Amino acid sequence: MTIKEQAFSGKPLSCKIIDAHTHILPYQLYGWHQKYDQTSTEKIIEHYDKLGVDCFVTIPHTLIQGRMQETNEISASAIKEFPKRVYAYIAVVPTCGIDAIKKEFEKCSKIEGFVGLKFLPGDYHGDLTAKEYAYAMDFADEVGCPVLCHIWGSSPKHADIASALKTRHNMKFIMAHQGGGYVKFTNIATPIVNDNENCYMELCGSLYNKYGVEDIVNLVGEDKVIFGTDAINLDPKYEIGKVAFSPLEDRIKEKIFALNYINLLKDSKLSKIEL
Amino acid sequence: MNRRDYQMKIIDMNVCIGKADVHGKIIDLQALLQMMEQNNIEHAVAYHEFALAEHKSGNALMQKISEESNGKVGVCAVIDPGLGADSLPGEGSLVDRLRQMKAECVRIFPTENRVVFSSFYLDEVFSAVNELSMPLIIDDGFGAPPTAIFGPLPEIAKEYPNAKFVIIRYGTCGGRNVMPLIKKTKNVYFTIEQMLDHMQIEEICEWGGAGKLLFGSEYPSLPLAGALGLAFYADITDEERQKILYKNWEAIRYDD
Repeated sequence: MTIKEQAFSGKPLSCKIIDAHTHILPYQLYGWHQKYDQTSTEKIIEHYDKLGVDCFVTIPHTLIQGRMQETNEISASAIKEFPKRVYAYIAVVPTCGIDAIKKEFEKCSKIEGFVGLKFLPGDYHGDLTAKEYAYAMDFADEVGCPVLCHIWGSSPKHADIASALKTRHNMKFIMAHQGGGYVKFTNIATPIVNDNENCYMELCGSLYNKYGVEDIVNLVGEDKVIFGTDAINLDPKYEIGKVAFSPLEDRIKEKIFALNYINLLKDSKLSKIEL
Repeated sequence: MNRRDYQMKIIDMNVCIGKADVHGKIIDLQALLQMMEQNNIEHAVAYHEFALAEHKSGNALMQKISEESNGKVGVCAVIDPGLGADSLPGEGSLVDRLRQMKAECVRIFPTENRVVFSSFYLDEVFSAVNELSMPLIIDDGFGAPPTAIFGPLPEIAKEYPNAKFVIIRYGTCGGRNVMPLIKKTKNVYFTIEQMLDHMQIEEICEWGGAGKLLFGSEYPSLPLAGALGLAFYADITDEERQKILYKNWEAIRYDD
């Protein structure tokens, strides 16, 4: 069966799937809502088993409120409780200061299961040009790990991302939300992805984006597209459908679903994902 | 979740012909039929983009396209409340013309038409769909805040109990409005294509709301694949899934 045929039959997809953009813990601010009995990490894994998702890389919702240390502690617990199913990003919150961020890097980089860093700049935690983010990106560049960076609309500024990439060629910079959530911003993000070998475009939150996944592959290439769903903020079945039901060949879907992410981790000194 | 070895029927009740896709290609009947073929969609219900500007001609065009489709594409009639019956080809009242068109449903654009959503201003349309027990799709624009519609909607739904009010492109961060409308009204429906709150469809079905959900993709404005993902992977019974995919629409559409 092709991936699309499996999807039409509702079967868990047989290809490897890494959800590279997720959030554990419930979150009910600003209109967000999740089904009340489906927000535990155990329930998330149960849900993913039915979809065929092998593992996910997460950052707890506590990051939104700037609770950096707590976020990393929660991640560490989840990784320990569900090895090889849950991986995590190290939370970076600029307002905590460089010393605190450095401590988190020292601590978390020794824990098996932390694979990269997560930034929530722009409307949440301020400009990407903050010195704390610069410090964090220098760390990511040194260890060759991914940075999953939230971007919605033009927040943070695409130019700041391009600037950060000019001098950092080892970090793997992943622009979340297709570079901004809408066609206009995906178009602005595209040349940045194409001009930088170490820049990628992640898919989640595409509900307002008129581009299909096949269009994004046409824009940035099949090796630069990273699968993410923004679960449990958003229902992962939407983005799984966007890939599984797209007209792309299965070999490209497999790259998007997992192989591209495995590839971008290969030179990292932080943890790798085992599938 | 069931694993199915049979192909489920799909009716996509929210499609547009004559609109450009993201690449600027105008979607005609052939393009729509190709999309339907690729995605196992048995029947689609479409309005014509042209009807937004020139209602009578656009609706007439949609009727013609539907006839050419040999039943694969049904008509959604676009009505401008300022024009009333003159939005449609044919003779007689709005009800007469809707019958003549064999429209499956009606679509209105209150924000585009700058009309207040109330029975005072929209009575002609509401009364017509009520008389015909017809679905009325309320298109309030992409990303429009819902309060202008959701405030008066419960009373309007009560006042016109045979009309089927369909809200499209809504759900994410909207569950607090969706759930009461589903639970407390008899004739308000939602399409699923933007129901991305975590397990929102499952939660609605758990509350007995499977009969109020419809499959509508918003093609070509949005890619179909995401809505298919929500429909085919929802952790619900196959009976509920069939309701969403086609049975609910078959139950409520106008079919004279």
